[in-house]
Amino acid sequence: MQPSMLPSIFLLPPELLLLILSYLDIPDLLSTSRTCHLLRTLSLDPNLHASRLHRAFVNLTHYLPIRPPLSELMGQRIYITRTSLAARSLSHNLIRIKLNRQLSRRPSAESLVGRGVLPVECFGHLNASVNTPGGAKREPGVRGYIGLAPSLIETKRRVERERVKDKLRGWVEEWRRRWERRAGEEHAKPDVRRMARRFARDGNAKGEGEREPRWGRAAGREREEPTRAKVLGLRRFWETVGKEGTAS
Amino acid sequence: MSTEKASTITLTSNDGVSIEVDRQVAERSMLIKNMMEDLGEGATATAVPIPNVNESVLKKVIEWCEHHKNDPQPAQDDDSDSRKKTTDIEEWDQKFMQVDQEMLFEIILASNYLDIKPLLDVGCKTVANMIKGKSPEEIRKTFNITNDFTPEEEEQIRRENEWAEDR
Repeated sequence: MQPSMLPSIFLLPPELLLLILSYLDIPDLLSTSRTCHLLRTLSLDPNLHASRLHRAFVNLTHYLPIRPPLSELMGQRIYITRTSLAARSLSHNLIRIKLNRQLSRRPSAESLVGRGVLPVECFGHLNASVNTPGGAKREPGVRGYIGLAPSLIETKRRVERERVKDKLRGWVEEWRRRWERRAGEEHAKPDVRRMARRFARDGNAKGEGEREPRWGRAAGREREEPTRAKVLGLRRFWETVGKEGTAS
Repeated sequence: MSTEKASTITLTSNDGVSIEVDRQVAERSMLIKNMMEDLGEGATATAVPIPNVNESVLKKVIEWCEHHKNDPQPAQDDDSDSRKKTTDIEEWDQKFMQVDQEMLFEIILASNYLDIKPLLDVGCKTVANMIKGKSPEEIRKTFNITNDFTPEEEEQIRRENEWAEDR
């Protein structure tokens, strides 16, 4: 047989295969013993199992003297006695009975809405279910309405609140910008280039400005577009002012 | 002693490639270590042929030795050795062993030949972990083993193993 035809695990000599098998436990050795003849012979090798037993013997003699006493294991609830098991199942049963009783006595979703514990939206689809044949007569616990989880409604409200806040923020921003612009115009320094830029921006912003929401009385007051002659005139005016300013 | 540590040894793989390694690294291999002790100082001058190992595998083995060159030598205590028979592999070694099966078996063969016990252990544990928890059919598929049992033999094995079936 060609070496390449051989599965590569059989590149290893039997002693190395045995070494690999020595790392396996009985269930895995049973599996390997059922794969093929060679691995079966190796997996059932008496020496392999003798060394397994020897290892178990060494482990036991090492660990048995240092194992913790039973009382400590019981203290840590690692070892469970019959009585503690019974006590545990008893307490489980008690909790179950208590839960069952209290769950059967819990108020219906409707009354909770009435008392303001649950938001109304949790019951929002109730009207739709009234028309369905099964749910003509509503009773607490009857399936037929689609309840919404309170957490979902909470999220919905948060999103709505955020949206309103965004709108308000935009409004405030718009007002602040206008106010700053006006303040800027009042305290304008004789900086001609900045003024020219502002005029140019006002001219450009005109197109966008129409899309922006307008608020209050400011909406009515349209800013008139400065003509080129006006800009040039203003520029000349401020330049002379600037020159005088630097001269004095 | 300090001059001895710094010296290097040239290893030659079976495909004629020479690789220079620190003596400390090469002496992770008990074969080379014993040879050096036997031959004395003059031996470091000549290249050491490693006839069973090709270049790529030799490089891989040297990579492992480089990483583990400062590990303490394993104790020769037989009982403590057999007590620690777990298949846990440290993380670097796990990554190191992420190679194709042929390379893995070549590394095992090389470490066996060069007598690098810790590397041999890591290799065998890696293969053992590939077998663990698998059914016979899955093991066959993993290692590309052909089922050479006759149906009668299989039936007999099944009967023999019945005691272990519901585990």
